[in-house]
Amino acid sequence: MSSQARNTWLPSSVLGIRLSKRKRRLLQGILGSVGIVVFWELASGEPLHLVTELMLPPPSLIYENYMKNQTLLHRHLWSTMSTAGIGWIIAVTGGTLMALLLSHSERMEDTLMPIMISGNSIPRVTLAPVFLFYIGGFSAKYIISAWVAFFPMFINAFDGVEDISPEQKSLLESFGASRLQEYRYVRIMNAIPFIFDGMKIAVTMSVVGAVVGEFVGASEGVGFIALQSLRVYNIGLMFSVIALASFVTVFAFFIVFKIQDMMIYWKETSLLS
Amino acid sequence: MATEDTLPGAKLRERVNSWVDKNIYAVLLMAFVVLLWMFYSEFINTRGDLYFPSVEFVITQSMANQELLISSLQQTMTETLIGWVIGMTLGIILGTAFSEVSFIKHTFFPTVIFWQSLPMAVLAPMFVVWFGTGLHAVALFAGISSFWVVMISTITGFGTIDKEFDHLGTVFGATYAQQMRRIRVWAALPHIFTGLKVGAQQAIVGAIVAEFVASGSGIGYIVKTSVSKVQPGLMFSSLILIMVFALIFYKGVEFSLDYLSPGPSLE
Repeated sequence: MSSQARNTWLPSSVLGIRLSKRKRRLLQGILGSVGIVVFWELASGEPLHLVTELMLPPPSLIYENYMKNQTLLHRHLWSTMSTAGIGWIIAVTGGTLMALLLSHSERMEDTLMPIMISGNSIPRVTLAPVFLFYIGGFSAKYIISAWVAFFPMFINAFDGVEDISPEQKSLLESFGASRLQEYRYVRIMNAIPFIFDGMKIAVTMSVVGAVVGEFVGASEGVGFIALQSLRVYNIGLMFSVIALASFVTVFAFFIVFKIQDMMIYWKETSLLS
Repeated sequence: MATEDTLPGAKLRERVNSWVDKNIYAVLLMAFVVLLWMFYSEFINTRGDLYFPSVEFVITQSMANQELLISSLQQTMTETLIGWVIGMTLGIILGTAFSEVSFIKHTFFPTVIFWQSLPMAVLAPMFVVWFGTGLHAVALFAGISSFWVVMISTITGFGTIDKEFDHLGTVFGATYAQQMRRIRVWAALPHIFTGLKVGAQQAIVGAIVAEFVASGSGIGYIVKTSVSKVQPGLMFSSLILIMVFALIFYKGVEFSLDYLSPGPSLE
């Protein structure tokens, strides 16, 4: 693929400039996403009417709906996102602490790992109604969100803390490193990329937990609005709340990714988790 | 002289013994949990069966509703299986297309990133709008849940093939089709199989979330309504059924994939 020699790519010949390969790829990606949105707008909205507005409203209608109901949507969005945020904090700190605890010794791992595995053996969202029943309305949603996000975070953090090679272990032993030094200098540094990966997944999972908690029983939040607008067949509102929640979550995911990218200079951060 | 090894049934005994050795801890743990449960219900629980059901209450309430439980479980199992098959097919096909066709990869890369990081559960009401509240909506949502995992694993699988394999193909003068069929697919297969296993789990999760939303039938729906109707015995037994089903499904997928895997690894 001779990229630098001939610039026969349509957009650059249209714009009349020469772009580097990386910029071309980026532009291609952006054009692709914009193209999908444009196609969606045309297919669902005025010109083509491939799908009726009741099935899949065009982006313009979704935006219009968002603008109309901004205060309502923002109030419920804040409720869900604060739940997810607190759940995320609990899951990340809990997962990291449990990973550190389990990595302490072989015996700790043998004792506590079965509990972790059995906690994860049932699909985590299934326990949402159970938590609602036993813990009660107000704090149950935080617990559900933390529960759904906890296990992937723990697994990632544990993999990270355990990722030291036998050579590193021998080096530490020959230097006479104490347990604390072993953790501080080797294990935790090694685990940081894994912990960040876990945090990214935990962002998505905590929102999933918050939303599912609202599906099974809540009086406010994104999930509640989605279900209510579904019941009264206000499809425009439903799509706008779904789109809003999705955008905010992807934005939060991207922020964690950016922090990881900036902090970790020794390993490349990939966007595909 | 007949030793223990040569007596008939020796091989079977050996297999049973090795299974017991591997799993004895898990079995003992489960037995311990059941004993703890019975102890709690008998001596510590002061609020009675409607708050925390005892083992007998769970059994009697489930027996009373057994047709409901069994038909719901059957429905969820069908939905999960259909969803996983759809997700597996689409995920592998689209994942391969995405990683092999450079145009698709670079055009749709931001789109895939966006869709991968959004919370899947929030899209469940959309499926109810499109497909109603029956089996189709749930199966398709389970399909979408598993599709994403399979696709990402396929892309990762094809992306992390050692460069040496490409060089090997070039040295042998392989055409693109030969390279794909004989080298690349096999090198990517471990990742794809891992993706299929995780996809099986995600299919179950997707089915249950969709059942929470689409107020109809299925074992997820039973879990949700048994809480609102205050039938904790039914709730516990449906949870146990889900757990057993998830375990059997995952182990079944794992076993078949291990059986289908080519022998020694390519590394």
